[in-house]
Amino acid sequence: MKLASVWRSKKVRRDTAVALLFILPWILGFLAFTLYPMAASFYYSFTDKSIKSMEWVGLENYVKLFSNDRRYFKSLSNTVYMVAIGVPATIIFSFLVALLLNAEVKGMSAYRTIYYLPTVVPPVAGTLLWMWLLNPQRGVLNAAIESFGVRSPGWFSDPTWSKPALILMGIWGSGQSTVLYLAGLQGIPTELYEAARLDGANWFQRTLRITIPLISPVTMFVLITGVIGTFQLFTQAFLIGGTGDYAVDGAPRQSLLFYALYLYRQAFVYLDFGYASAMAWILFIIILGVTILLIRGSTHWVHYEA
Amino acid sequence: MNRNHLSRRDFLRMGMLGTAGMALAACAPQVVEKTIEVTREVEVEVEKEVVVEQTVQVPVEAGREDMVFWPEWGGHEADALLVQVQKFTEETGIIVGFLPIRDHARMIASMSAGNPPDLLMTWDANAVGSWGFEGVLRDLGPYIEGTGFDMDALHPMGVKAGNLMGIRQIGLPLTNYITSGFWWNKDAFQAAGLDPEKPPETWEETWETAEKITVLEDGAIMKWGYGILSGQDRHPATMCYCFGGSIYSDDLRQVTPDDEANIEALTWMRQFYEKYGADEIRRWQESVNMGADAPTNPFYTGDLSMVVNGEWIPSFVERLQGDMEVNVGVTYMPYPASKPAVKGTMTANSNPLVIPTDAKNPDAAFKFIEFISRPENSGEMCTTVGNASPVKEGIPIQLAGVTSPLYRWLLEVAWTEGNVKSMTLNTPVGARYMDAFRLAREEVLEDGRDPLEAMEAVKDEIQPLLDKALDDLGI
Repeated sequence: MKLASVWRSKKVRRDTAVALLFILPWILGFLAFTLYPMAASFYYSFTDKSIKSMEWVGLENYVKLFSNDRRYFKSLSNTVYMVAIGVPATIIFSFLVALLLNAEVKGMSAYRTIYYLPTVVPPVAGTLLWMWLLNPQRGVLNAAIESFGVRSPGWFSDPTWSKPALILMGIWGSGQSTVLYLAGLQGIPTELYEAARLDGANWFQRTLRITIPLISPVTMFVLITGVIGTFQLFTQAFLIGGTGDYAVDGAPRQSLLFYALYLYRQAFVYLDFGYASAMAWILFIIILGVTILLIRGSTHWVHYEA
Repeated sequence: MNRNHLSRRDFLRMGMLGTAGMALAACAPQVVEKTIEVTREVEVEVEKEVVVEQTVQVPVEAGREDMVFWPEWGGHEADALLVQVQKFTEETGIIVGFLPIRDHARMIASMSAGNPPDLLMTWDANAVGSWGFEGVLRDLGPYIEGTGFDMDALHPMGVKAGNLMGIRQIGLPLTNYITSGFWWNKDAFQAAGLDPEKPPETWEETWETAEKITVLEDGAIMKWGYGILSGQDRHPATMCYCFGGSIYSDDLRQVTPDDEANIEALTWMRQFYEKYGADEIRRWQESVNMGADAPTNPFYTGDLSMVVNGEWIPSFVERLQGDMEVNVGVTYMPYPASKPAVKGTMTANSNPLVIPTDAKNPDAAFKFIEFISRPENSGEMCTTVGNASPVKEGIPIQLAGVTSPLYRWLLEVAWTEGNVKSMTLNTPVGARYMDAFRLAREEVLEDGRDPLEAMEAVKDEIQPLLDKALDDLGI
């Protein structure tokens, strides 16, 4: 049946109107709080918009970003480091923990709860907790390391260790990915493992040939959401790296100057909303590009058939 | 037709009726009897005409707010301010919507959207300057002239912090506070065999004293003589001023990071990094809690002997005294031995009150500024907050109620005899300039970059931005 003839039906038209009426609140919210701000920020990125004043400057903000801002590239490289190392590390850890939590062991519900608990800790509280755990002189982790006669790293005071420390924090809070993996693992038909066992496959071979391919849709989801979230990393760096009148952003030595942190400083301290909008749009394009690449590349390694 | 189910049309009709009913109910005025106590002077005819005070109950329309006030304070500071707000309402009948908030972003958003409060107060006088250059704050000049507000009654530091390069007064101080007192721990001095009543006077003596007190263990700092960049010396202006330097020319049209005295300051600071190592210093800074309210603050426990900090310290020391022995002293910042004229230099800042351009009731807001600028009101509030009254006559009122010898010294000596300089100098590029200065300072202290070369690079980066901004503003 053609669309035009369907549309001629009074019932279809009435049903569509009713459906639209029901989703109207969402549509209005989307237009007012998502589409309009996006369009406005796109326009602002070609202006020198501040709190009130605004003049068209064309591509000046974009040119300046790529030619005359060392801190921009520092923030971008720090963020890419976290995406390139932090996201895979978190995925591997979540997967391994999910494998453990999938084992048939007594008291497994308690273990699962324990592993998930950090996820419900608010980011601010979690960050403060880790700042204490990693305190160079009084931290529990450092005391454990130094009990082996090795000098512990300065973690958040050392530019070499600050990002790895942040990745460690991210891994601690990866309960959500673990739960997703766990759900995925439980969806894999047990017959496949039984058949593999009969063929003489060991645990490693079963994991490599059955589990990882069949869990790949979950890996894909965790990877994409992880990449998007990490590109926008803010709260932890804001708390640890300091911002404001007295501190240099991204301390120590700008090693925690992430993209979103620098964008915030441009907008709310330097009041350069035009420049911050240009930064936001470049970030959007980067995230979009990486996501498209991941989706395109996924045809080679993601298997949806069970 | 016998209908045994609710049709879609009826369902929608009922839903819309219900929604409309709820909306109407929400719009209905609340009928709440509310009054405030107002003390009025009334003339009473008796045998002879006299003036007596009478407290009357004035009905107040529920939900009515004549002006909205957002202070960027919380805790006991917001409570102290609220007491004054209530007194203001009692005296004038002006109802104040009082909403303490803790972030600039909301203030900026409200001004950007054209719906700001009538009165704003922030602890960050630098931010106020940049807002002022954006034209979102009112020039208080006409109000000052119109009401005969006495600017000479205020300490000049607080006035300067709210001034835009001499062209506009956009803020008036709610409180002032010294940001750079030189604090020393007497017990730590005694433990190191030093005279606990004799803090160093010059920067040279400070270095020598710090060396005597500092204790290392396998290269790690266990006791720290001088807490370099662990207190208010992190603000570039502090060390520049206390070495006799500057960050701007007098007319604020030139940035002066390469001032000879600034280079001396950086060279003096670098000694610590050369001797103890940047990694160890950062490691120590990361290990300790420098919060003024923290009992574990190494300055209170004696693990840190000397630090630059503000005049809020006495109130926290008093609170801790019951639980621990905190034996500390405060004096002027040190000065270079070759420049005795720099002696007595201290930096200070203010919490400015500003009126946004789009304020609905700016007159009421300025009335509150006048009210809180009366010596008795300012003195009372500042004593509770632990800051100095920005009103000259407010300080004697504070002194009458002050018990802490530390606070007394700051109010009685530092504010009246010291060379108190404003840390806030408003220019359109202030935040960018300070960031560039701090980044260059890191390179000087930690990487051994030549200080003059680094500061000249800052000047080369910032001066064109300042020139352009002043041109754009037509200043």
